Amino acid sequence: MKILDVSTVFGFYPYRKLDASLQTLREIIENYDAKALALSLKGVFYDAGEGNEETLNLLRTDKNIYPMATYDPRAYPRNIRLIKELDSKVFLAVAFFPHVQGWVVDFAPFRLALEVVGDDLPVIVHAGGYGEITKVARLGAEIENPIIISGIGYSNMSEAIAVVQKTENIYIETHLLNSPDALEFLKKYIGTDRIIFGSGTPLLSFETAYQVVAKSSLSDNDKEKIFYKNWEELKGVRV
Amino acid sequence: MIIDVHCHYGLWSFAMDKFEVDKIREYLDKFDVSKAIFSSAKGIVYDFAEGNRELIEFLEMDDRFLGYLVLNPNYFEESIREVEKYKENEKIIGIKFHPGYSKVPIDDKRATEIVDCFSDTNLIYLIHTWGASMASQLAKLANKFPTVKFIMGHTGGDTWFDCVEIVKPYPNIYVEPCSSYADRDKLRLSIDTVGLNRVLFGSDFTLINPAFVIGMVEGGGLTQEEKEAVYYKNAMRAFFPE
Repeated sequence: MKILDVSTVFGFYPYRKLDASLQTLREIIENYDAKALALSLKGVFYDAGEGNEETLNLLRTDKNIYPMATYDPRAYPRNIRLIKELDSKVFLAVAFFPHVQGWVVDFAPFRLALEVVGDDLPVIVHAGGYGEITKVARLGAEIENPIIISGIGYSNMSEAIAVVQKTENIYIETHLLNSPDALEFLKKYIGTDRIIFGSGTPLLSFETAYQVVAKSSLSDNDKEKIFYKNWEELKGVRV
Repeated sequence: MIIDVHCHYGLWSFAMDKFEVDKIREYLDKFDVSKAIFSSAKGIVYDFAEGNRELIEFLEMDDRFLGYLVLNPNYFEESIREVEKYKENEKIIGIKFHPGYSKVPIDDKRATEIVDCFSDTNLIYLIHTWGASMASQLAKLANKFPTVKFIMGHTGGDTWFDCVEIVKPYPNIYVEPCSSYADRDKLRLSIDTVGLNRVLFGSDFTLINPAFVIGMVEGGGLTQEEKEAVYYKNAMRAFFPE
């Protein structure tokens, strides 16, 4: 089955010794005959400008891994031009990391960034604590971009269901869907059209993310939607 | 084949359905789990005695089910009575402490006295750990009772890579890896640090999907021999020594 992973990274991981190299990411993605969106961790931990440049330089011609941009609103107004001028012909999405960078999702510079990002670019937000998804959804209601929320597990599943039911452009990324029957539970309340596969590899286990979907009791059609079709049908997406 | 040393029975306070016995059996079949050791979710988050009563009834429903009694050291005398009441039950093979929910440190005087009271039994302690300070508390307890076996639940959670170093000197501490975060290198580093024979398979089912830890084992760069040790051989030796 075709797989597209919207949540991968590469580069140097400062929190502990771990091989997060592009080479390792490539091997994992190749092992599963998958495709992926990736960004350099330099853009998350250090500077979005340098990170995006590195992402582009390394992935521009890659056949399986596509470049994804990032922006750190702590640096606003520095680099805001980057996000205004993101070339959606090159970057397939823009990802934000409030949890890693320590800002809250109703942070004014983040709101400004969402206002200026092009309408045709999917936005991925790594959010997790109670209330954060609700705030993302409020911001999402003001823009047209698809917003994919990463970081949903058993503890904030209720919030995820509530916001997806209320806000049309909100999607759920799968890597932290940790409860047994999480996908079956989501299907019961929101269907499977707004669930998108992500793994967090090479920091996290691709095999785990894969098994959660593959070993679920969902139909092959539903699994295909999660593994790649839902992404392909997002507004503005090209693969 | 898998022996899952970290399972729960009962409802959780989150957006998920309760796993009744048929659903639990279905999951054990799906993942080839031959023995699963449960503690009561209700016992952990609320009333341990009520939870244990329900667990005992549940354990009788399938030969694969075994159990830990949940104890709450805030209720010291009641905890002692709870073990006395059930310790002859063959389905009960361990004790569960959850310092997060009970708010009692692992090396608290009351918890230590409970371990002391039953140190001549074969009961194994599954202890929830999250963070290096809990791992250090567990190390202190394990040092005091070198003949008692302890399982460091979650391998210390978010700082597991520090926690394996903390418990490395204590051969009576096993680690099990379940967590919401399926770190790709957790099994490899755990084995390399504490030794292959001290790493057990625990999933946190019914709170967490067993696929999380199975994926970590399968995708963690382990040899077939290492996988078999983690999946069941180490648990066989720990819980069912000949």
